Amino acid sequence: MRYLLIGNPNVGKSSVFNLLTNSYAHVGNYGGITVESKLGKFIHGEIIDLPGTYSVCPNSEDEGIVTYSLINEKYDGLIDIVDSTHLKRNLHLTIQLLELGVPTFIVANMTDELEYSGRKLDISKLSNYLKSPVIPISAKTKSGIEDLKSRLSKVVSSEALQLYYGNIIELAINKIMPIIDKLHLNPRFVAIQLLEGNTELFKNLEKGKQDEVKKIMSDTETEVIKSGTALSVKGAIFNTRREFIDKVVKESLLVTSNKNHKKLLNHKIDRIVTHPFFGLIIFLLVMFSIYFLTFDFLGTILSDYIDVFLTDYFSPFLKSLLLNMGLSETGIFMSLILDGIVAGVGGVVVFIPQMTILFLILAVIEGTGYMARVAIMLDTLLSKFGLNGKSIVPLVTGIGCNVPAIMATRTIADKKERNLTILITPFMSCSARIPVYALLASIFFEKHQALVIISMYVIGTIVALLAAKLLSLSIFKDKANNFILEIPPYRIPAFKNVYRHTKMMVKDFIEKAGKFILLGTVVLWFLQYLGPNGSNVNPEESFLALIGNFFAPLFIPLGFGSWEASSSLVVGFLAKELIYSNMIVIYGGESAISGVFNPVSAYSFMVFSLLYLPCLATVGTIHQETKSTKFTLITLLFTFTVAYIVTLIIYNIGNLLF
Amino acid sequence: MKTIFDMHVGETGTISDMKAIDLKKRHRFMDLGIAPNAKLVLLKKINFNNLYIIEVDDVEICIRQADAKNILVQI
Ligand SMILES: Nc1nc2c(ncn2[C@@H]2O[C@H](COP(=O)(O)OP(=O)(O)OP(=O)(O)O)[C@@H](O)[C@H]2O)c(=O)[nH]1
Ligand SMILES: [Mg+2]
Repeated sequence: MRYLLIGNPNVGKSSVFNLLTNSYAHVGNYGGITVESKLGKFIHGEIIDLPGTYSVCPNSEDEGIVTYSLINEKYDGLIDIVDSTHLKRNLHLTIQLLELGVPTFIVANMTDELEYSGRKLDISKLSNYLKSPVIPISAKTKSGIEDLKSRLSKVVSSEALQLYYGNIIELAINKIMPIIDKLHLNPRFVAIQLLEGNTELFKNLEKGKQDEVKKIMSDTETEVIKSGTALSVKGAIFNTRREFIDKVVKESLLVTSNKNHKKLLNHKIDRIVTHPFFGLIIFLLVMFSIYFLTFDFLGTILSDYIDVFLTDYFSPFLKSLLLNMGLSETGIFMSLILDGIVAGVGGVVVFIPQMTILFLILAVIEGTGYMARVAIMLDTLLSKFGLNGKSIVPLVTGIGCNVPAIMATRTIADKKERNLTILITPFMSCSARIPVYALLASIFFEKHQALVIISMYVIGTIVALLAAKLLSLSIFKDKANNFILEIPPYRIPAFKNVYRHTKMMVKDFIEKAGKFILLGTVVLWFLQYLGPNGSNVNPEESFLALIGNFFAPLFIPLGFGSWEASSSLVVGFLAKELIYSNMIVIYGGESAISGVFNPVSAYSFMVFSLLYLPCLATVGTIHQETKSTKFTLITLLFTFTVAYIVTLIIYNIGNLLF
Repeated sequence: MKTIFDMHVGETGTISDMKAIDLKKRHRFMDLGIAPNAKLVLLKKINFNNLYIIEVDDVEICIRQADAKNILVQI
């Protein structure tokens, strides 16, 4: 058996997916967490988790994935997750799915919240109206999950739901049906979807048929408007569905008590959290505590422990082990292992606690529903920069890693607005940039480490906003600027979700350190060990110096025109952690670094590392998401230019001041 | 004729017309339940009245002032 998991955003699809399958999909409390399909195995076969959508007619990239899967995936049935506390809105999508006539299990989730709000579902009535099995569950309390699991062992073939859409539309449906009968989907469903304006299905028609359908569509549109029943065909279809839904909900949703405590509490919290003054204070406090916990307090302490362990215990231990194995103290292997691998990779591993804490806090924040409030609160401000409140999600996610951040832009409906957000996201300082900040800050700004590191995030954010402003006044001038957001109720993040998400992110990081960074460090070590004139050369004559020297003149105006610095930036393009590894490998320690930089040039170098280019993985994601080589190249050129100019300004101001 | 923009906080109304909003956006609004004949409550105005939080079909939705001005309501 193979099922597609479909439903409105934020109804608990991924939560159900995690309970049913052996895989893990990220869960969070606002619409748009899942932006790509994900396959998981369960006892009766496979389940595919999909992004949330309000309608089968796609409005944005992530919603398009749902429509695409419905048309092109192979599946035996659908699992339609509905939020039973938002039944009226959710059933619009359910009706569209039932019109498709594929076996569908309607899963009424969030029954715990429904009960708490003093309401109850009459399952058999609902099931009768919709002519499909309805299974009440709560992904939170796990009630009904076993029942759901066993029901999924076989599908019951079902007849497509038929609503009567009124004379004009029914006529149009009948005209379209014979034209599209070659598609493998239920023709009535396809006809209705086409009339609603489903572009994904429309694309699947041959050119000639497209023209025919278009003609019928526009004729019907005119007639509907003339008749005065609705403002558009889609509106008329919507009205019919709503009438049906109103009747269904009235009969099957029983109100047992009128007091909705949760709602009242939500409104109370929101009064403070979205308050123009207190809201902003709370936001700044939250941001500050992220930095405090990650960089100044907990994270740094733990990282220091690992560092001490590595340098004081592990390295000497490994060294004596290698000596005992017969390696010579000054030999190539000793140097490769200790100065290359242990220093380069170990140095990155040191940051695992800080990253863990950062991802943990971000996961908790995502789980509460606070992100939606931040989006609202910052919408007015962000709109001044040509963005909208929703852009805050990729920007904040970018603090963890730019790759999921770029993916998160899929929820931005307008293409140009989305591209704009993609273009500025790399300016958000990701966790891979922490090592180089920490290294230089600890050497040159010993007393103000945390402040200097925070300033990187501030500079990144300011540059991102100003760049957005600049772009929205020029290339992206005619882009739409919309904002409409469903506000989820506050929820307490499930411990398990936070734990699994953090674990996954940290695991990714360790894997990256274990493969990519390890490999990179070994290659780097050889590049500085070998040169055109043989091996074990003076570093100045190594291949690495050759590469570095080629780019170095470019960076003289910025204060770090050495081959060491420029070669670090070159390899940093592969992965930002490598900037750090490279410096450690070449300079062989902190004392050497303090000789080549001064505070101003070190700060310039940090700013440049922050802004200059997105890492290779991010570039790959940008290309995959925009499907445009040109756009990807523009991103590279743009970020590099911005980085150069900003660093130039900072370096020169710094030199004037200090 | 009143729009959402003119409503008092806590007031309930029924959407009567949204023609002033362009088609694409209107359909987006419709997907979220904001369509003619829908009942709504204005819950709050925030960000110095730049944003309007309304409740439609038990769902809380945040819209911008510019759109609020374009949605006619019958009180
Ligand atoms: N109280 C309660 N909360 C739930 C239940 N199911 C899910 N949640 C919460 O609802 C929120 C959304 O859950 P997800 O599983 O991410 O929802 P989704 O449908 O996958 O969301 P998108 O991928 O963003 O469309 C999370 O905060 C969950 O913890 C439930 O049965 N009861
Ligand atoms: Mg999901």
